[in-house]
Amino acid sequence: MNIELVLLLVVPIALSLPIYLLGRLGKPSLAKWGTVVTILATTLYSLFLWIQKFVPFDAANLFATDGGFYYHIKLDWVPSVGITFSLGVDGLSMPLLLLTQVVFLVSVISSFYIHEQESSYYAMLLVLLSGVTGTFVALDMFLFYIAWELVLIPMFFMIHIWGGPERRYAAIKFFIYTHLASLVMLIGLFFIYIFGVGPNGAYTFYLPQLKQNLAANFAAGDVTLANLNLIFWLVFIGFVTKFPQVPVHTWLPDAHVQAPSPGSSILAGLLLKMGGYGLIRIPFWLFSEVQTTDGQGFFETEEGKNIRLIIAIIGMVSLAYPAFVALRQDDLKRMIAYSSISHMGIVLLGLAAYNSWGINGAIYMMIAHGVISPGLFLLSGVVEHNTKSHTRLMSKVGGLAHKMPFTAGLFVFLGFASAGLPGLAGFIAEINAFVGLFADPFLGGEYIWIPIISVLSIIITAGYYLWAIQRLLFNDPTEELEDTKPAKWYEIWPVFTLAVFALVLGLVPTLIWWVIDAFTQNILP
Amino acid sequence: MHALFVGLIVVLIADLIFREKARLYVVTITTLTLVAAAGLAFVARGQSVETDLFMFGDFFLAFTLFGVLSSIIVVFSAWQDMDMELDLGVFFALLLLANIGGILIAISRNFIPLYIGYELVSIPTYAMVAFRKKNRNAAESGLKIFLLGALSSAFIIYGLAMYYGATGSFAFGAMALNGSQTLQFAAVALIAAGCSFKIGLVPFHFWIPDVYSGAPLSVVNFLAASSKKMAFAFVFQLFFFGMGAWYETWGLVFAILATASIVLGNLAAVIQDRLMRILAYSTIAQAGYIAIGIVSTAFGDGHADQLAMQGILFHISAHILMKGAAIVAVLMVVRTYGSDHIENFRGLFHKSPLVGGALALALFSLMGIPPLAGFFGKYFLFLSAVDAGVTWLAIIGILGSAVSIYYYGRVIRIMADKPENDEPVQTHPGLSVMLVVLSLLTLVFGLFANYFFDLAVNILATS
Repeated sequence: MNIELVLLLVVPIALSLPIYLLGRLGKPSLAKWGTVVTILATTLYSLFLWIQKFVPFDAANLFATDGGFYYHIKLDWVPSVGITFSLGVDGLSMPLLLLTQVVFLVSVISSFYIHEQESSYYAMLLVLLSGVTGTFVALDMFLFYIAWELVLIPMFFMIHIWGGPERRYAAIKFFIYTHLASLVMLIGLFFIYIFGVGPNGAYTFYLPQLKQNLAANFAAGDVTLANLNLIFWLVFIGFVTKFPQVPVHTWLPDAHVQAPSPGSSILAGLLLKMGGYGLIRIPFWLFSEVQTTDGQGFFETEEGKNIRLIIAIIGMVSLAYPAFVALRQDDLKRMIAYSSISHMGIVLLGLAAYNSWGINGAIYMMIAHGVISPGLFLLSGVVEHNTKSHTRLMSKVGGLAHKMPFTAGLFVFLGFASAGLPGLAGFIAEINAFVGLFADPFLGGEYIWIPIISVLSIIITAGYYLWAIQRLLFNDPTEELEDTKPAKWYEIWPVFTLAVFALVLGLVPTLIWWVIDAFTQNILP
Repeated sequence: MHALFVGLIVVLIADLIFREKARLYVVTITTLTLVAAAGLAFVARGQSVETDLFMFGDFFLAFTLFGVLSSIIVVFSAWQDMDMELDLGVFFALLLLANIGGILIAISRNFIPLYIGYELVSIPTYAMVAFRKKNRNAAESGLKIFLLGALSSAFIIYGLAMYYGATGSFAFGAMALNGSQTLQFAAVALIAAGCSFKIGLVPFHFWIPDVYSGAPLSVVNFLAASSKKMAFAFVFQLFFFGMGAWYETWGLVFAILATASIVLGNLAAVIQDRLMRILAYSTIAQAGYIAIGIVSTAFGDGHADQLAMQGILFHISAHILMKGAAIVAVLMVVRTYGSDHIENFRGLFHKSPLVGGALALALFSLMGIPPLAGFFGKYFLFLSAVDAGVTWLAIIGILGSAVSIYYYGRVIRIMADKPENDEPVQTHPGLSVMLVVLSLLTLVFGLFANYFFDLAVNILATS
């Protein structure tokens, strides 16, 4: 029995209550350091797991065992309904699992400025860690949904208690938006459960089994293309709201701006990735064995092509429109929030391309954005905490480079990384996604205007980052910065770590590229 | 098989004798009685039956346990709530009497004992609501519940007469006579209307908000956690087992009632500013969710039936836990600050992490957030609706759930705010233990899912 992932999943949530009590009854700093030690341990452990199975990487071997999942565990939970407790990682979830641990580690260290209700804060962080981990490693649809929804409670409190001035509105908006979308997704999951019934009425929630059952039922004619289409759109609504894309993106700027900056970094770095992960895992991976009689995969049929066209258009609009909105933002954090939506548009475009470039690019974009945007959000927090009236407005703050040179340097670096400068992580993802789009005979042929408009929109991204750098860093220092000293260690070193990741992933993409590619080859027909 | 009744009645009399004595004594006796009844229920299940009027099956076991164990919560909350009243013994005697009625409902296989059981639950309930007779609100609530209750009983009686007319028998599952379609429909409609009063489905829900905010809180706890479950047992007996063959008619009736309850219950809760009224409307909505299960049972195949029954059992037991915990927490706040106005909950997390945390947990559970108890019930109910082909009902349930986040979330937000005064919450040792137990059960409830499924399968198999 493999208990590696069970440990990663259960340890944080199990320790949250003891750590809360430790902080409440003893000193709050005990809770702080307890959480840091816990998350450091899980990070090192997941790194160890990565090295153990994924570094001497052998793509052929990965999919030879346990349906392509490492550290696979499957226990019965409610056998009569088909609910199992099953975990496992493959080429898609392992990089995201590692990303989760890293982003949590930097976020918890950047939280050292929080002194209000510290014990509750760190307990929430640990629950959140379990929820996000569970979403990425769950192989059972029921467990997946539990982990997916578990994230809401700690995030709600994080925004509500430790957030900015409009935090009440933002917290409830975040909660209602994402919960309603998850419930729509839930209906989709119900249909998967019902259409994915095995022989002799053996219902199951176990995803690898459902994948086979769907293909078998499709071949037998019990499940039609229309059924799959319905499932796709129901789960798509759920995932795309978390993702988020135009027009269901409006919770994101509010939630990001009002959340404390470590909370925003988790939101941007991981919660958005949960949407992307779900979208790839549930429709794309789950339908990958479905084949029509003339050997076409689901996304190559007419229905599938329509789906790809629509999500490509959604991706294109979400890439271009929030970029323009970001251009006119004065609040630094709001600008970064809109740029997140814009980058997630690239993920959707890559998926729409449906070839190895596109999907690899989409997954790589999730990782790249997962290290870059938390860094930017943490930097916006540094700006906020070090200005006189705690503001992030670019019109009020100027000349940061004179007072906080290291911070300014990191901002320039991560800003360019986010804008897709070659040599950094974001570039690898963007170039692959766009090559995938142009290479696709469908979207790159008849609908060639979609990739063209998308590529042109990238210029806007560079535009707002350059403008922000100009206004925020290189104007004359304003009076807001009179007493500003260089940033403290816990403000700057976490961001530096993320910047190192952005550089390494840009220079040596092969570190994770082969793992992602093995997954992609597996789901493509 | 009569040991159960004998046990109850003997201790009931003992209870009456000792009633003016030490309060702790009375509480202990009543609790022990209830625990003993629960234990006897396990013994009694599956024993041979002398007549065809009764059956001691899994249905009996499930609903006896629901009724009896939830009454223990009531005993504990009454312990603190009723400390002004001298005659606590009478109150507990009424409680035990209602429990006997509940058990009678759960074992009946004929409409006559079933109806007697129903009245045996109802009449003590009226008395309990009006127990604090000097209090204006309580008296008003008592009158309201009594008048509407009498009306609903009349509906049910009339409906049962129609049933007799349509079948010529009072036995469960009797064959309908030829040409009796109109009578069947009238019977189903009248009985459904009468039952909807008790389980609080729109449009028969008007008493709930007033009684919940007017009656003593321990009685509300009884209404929400205990007597309502007995009423649900009554409904399931009537429709699943009594009139199972006429499913098309009552399936449709309950689909309409469920829709109305979910929509109205959730929308009306949004504008309330007293927590008990919010909980009252949420009770209406929760009854609507359970009614989804009734509809799925009507329209679904075997698998949907099993899922629906599992969802119903799960949601009912989860509802006992979360409503019980919420009302106990409200009780403590009301006793400290005088009213259940939502402002009195400001900063509850800071004042008392235990009470605030337990209340928040209960509210999250009512929203249906995993991995809490309330989630599992809703999950299986919605799943059964999709499985049974009534997806639109699941969608209505989902929209209702989304609305519910707003009003529950509002309370949680207020509790998380900074407190305006430092007056500490007066806790009570018995109730604090109760809160901890209920919260822990709410957290780990999902682990028992398999047991509930087996129970559901057994119940359906024996019907």
